[in-house]
Amino acid sequence: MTRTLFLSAGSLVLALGLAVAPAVAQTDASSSDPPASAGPAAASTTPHMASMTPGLTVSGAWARQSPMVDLAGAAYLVVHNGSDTDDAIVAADSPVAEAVELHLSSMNDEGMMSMNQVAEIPVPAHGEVSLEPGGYHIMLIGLTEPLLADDSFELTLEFGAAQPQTITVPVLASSPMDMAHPSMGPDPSIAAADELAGDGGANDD
Amino acid sequence: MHIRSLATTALIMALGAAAVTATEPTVIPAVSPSPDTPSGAPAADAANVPTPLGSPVPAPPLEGLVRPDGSVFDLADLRGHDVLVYFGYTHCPDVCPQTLAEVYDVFAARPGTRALFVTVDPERDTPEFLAEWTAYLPDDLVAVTGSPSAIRRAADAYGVRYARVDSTSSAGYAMSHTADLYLIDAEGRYRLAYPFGTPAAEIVADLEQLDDAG
Repeated sequence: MTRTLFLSAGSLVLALGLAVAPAVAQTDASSSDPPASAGPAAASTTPHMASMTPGLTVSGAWARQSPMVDLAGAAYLVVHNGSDTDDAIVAADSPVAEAVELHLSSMNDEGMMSMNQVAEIPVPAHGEVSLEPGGYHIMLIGLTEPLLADDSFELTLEFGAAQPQTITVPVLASSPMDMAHPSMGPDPSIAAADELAGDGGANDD
Repeated sequence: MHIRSLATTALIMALGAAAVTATEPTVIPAVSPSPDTPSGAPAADAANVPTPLGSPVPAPPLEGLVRPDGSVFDLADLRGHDVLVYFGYTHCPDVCPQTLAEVYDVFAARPGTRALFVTVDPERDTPEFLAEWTAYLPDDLVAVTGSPSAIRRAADAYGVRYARVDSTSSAGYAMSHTADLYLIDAEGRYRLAYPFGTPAAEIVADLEQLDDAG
């Protein structure tokens, strides 16, 4: 599985002609341990290594305080896809929960907010998906410990194409959006591709 | 999502229009508290856009509901406080905690404000469970439960709709529900409904306006 995913990512890099990630571009996954350096460590602990994973970048992760282990917690984040290939979050895992699921809250056609488990959360090529309250979220079910403000925990995201990434998720008492963007309602929409055209040189329209 | 954005925009516009006429006491547009009011839809209808309906009306009573300690709840107990009423459920990990977080921000900005959380999931939200849950929450939030029929009557009175959604999730079943916050003023009058996602700052601005208007 690791090999398949790795070769896929390497092929993608080669196809794009991006020379920024020589370790990832290796074609023999067994010759070294690039997954260890290009995967889990890249997301949050060593920002300079973000260039090692030109495909997906995870940022802005947080989880809401959840003091009662009987009630599910929720984690939110943004995944940016700088590649030419559509991808998706297909699974997540964390040591703080017995089960980690992908869910989508949305307003149904009767005006009710409804929450449904989803198989994947799409991350379009040259786009991003924002997991926010009232939209996509990662549900932490069967908490092994209370999630308290100022704590943090590890969360591993698995993708359809890209390699898994493990990130550190800080626990907050309330949404970082609450006071920061008073005019913005939660919106789980997927950002338009053209929003990203300026910063990545990916003018492929 | 466009619907929600439009609703928020409409709210901002409505409040902005109200602010322009600030030379005289401004009446916050009220929302029909009753589905059978001929001129108005229930609060949660019409894409959650608050519907101006003239003078505020007495808030519908919430009867047959109990507090976590088992005592009978009476909405009149909260008279003298602005009250934000929300219908939700404790096993809701996303929408309800987000709304409550906004409510706590209102508490911080407007001490004396109260919130009333009416569960739509009495099966899991027993008085005992609500007691455990509210122990983690600000004292200014009152949580109530009741029999399924009492909760349905309360919801109907506020135009709230909800339904159980069975799921394969490890978390068990979910409840879909309208997710508005309803503002009842200190005189027990029903003033406004806020759609999900309304920032606390907008609610705080309204409460200040209510204060100014007396």
